[in-house]
Amino acid sequence: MSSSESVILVVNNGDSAALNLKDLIEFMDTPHVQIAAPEEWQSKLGERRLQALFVGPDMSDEELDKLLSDIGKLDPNVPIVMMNQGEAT
Amino acid sequence: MNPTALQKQFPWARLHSLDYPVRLDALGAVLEEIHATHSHVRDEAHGEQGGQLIGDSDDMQQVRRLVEQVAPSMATVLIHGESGTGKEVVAHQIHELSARKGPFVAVNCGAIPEHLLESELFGHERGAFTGAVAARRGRFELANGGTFFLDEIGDMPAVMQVKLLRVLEERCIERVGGTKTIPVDVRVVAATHRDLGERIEQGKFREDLYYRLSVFPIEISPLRSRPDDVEPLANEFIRRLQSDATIGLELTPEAMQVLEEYSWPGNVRELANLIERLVVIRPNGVVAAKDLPWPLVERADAGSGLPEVLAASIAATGGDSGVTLPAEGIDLKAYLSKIERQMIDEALSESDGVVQHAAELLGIGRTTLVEKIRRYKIKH
Repeated sequence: MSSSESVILVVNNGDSAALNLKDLIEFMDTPHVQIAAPEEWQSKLGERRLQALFVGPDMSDEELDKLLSDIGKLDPNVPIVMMNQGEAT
Repeated sequence: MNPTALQKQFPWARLHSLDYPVRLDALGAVLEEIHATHSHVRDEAHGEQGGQLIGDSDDMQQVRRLVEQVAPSMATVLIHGESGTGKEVVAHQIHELSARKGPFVAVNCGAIPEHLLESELFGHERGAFTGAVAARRGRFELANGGTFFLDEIGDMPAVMQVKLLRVLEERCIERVGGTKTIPVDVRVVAATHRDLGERIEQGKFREDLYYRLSVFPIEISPLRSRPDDVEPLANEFIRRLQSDATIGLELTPEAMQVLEEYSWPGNVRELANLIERLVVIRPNGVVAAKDLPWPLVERADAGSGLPEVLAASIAATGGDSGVTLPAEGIDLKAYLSKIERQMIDEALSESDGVVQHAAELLGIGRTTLVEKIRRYKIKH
């Protein structure tokens, strides 16, 4: 994959929900979806451009804090989609 | 952590939230927003200039100056230029050089069916029409805090022109099927390849909207009128394509000259496509003039003025040029260029360096002769 390619990243503390989300996003004709655990998302992203971040439902508050702080340093314009158990805006 | 608390803690973040397990319609709406705000990334992937204004011709320097002047302001900009000249690149550059932190959102007014355009621009509420299963923000809302690029504004239907004018005047929108007025902080940049003056005369474009949009007009000239930009553009496209999988594509000076002489009806986009094709055909090779696609070479010849010079020469010798084809053959293009240059030298000498007189002697226009003098680097 080239450095100019963009990717949607699904970060979650658990594979099941992450894989489910990846399948659904790809089903909506959006290729290049990568899943990652909270501690490995930067290495999984590599040189690619982050198009959007999906945050899975199994993240602790501490993991979420760190993830969003790191994303803010990388690119504050990246859309972030939070998964909530039974709550939506 | 709930989304409201998160937004407070990370005010810069562009947060969306979805219930989990996810409903497909809600996920689709979020993905559509994500794609819309990243339209410029898609354009870059499709071979446009990708955010840089390339070229040192007088015209491009002027465009660059205008962009730098207008970017920090909130002035509405109207960009005019033929298809493929890079209007979106200029719009994106205006956004990049502005202090606006929101996204750059683009929409092509000519590419969206009329009945969908209103919902696309202003969004809709749930149940606004058949199929509106969820509320959706429109492009104006998505561009909040940023720049909204309305491409091919000259093709916007009349009924939408009225609604757009209202948004530009009042800086607020209403979603389709909604009653709430939503304020939007959006800088509008519009573009068209059409002659809007003519469209106004034909009754196809509102004059009041035109004046509202053309607060700061920018004209991008076609590539054929700035041949100096062809080489830097071609080199930039080669550089970008080579960063992926190939190395070593090179254009000979003769090939580059053909590119500079070509009329480029598709402008910069056509040049980008040609380079991409050459990279595929000759990923690691030297491209000579003869390797270029034949329509390009043929049209370059037609536009070079060579037939006029040659015809004049042949006519002067009673229909016989006095030249015979050597048995070993010749490089016709190089040969004709040599004759052309010699004729220009003689005409300039004959006219004591007065270009207008020399052009008359050669039977070509003054502008054409000036261009040839520049190309051959003739000192007079």
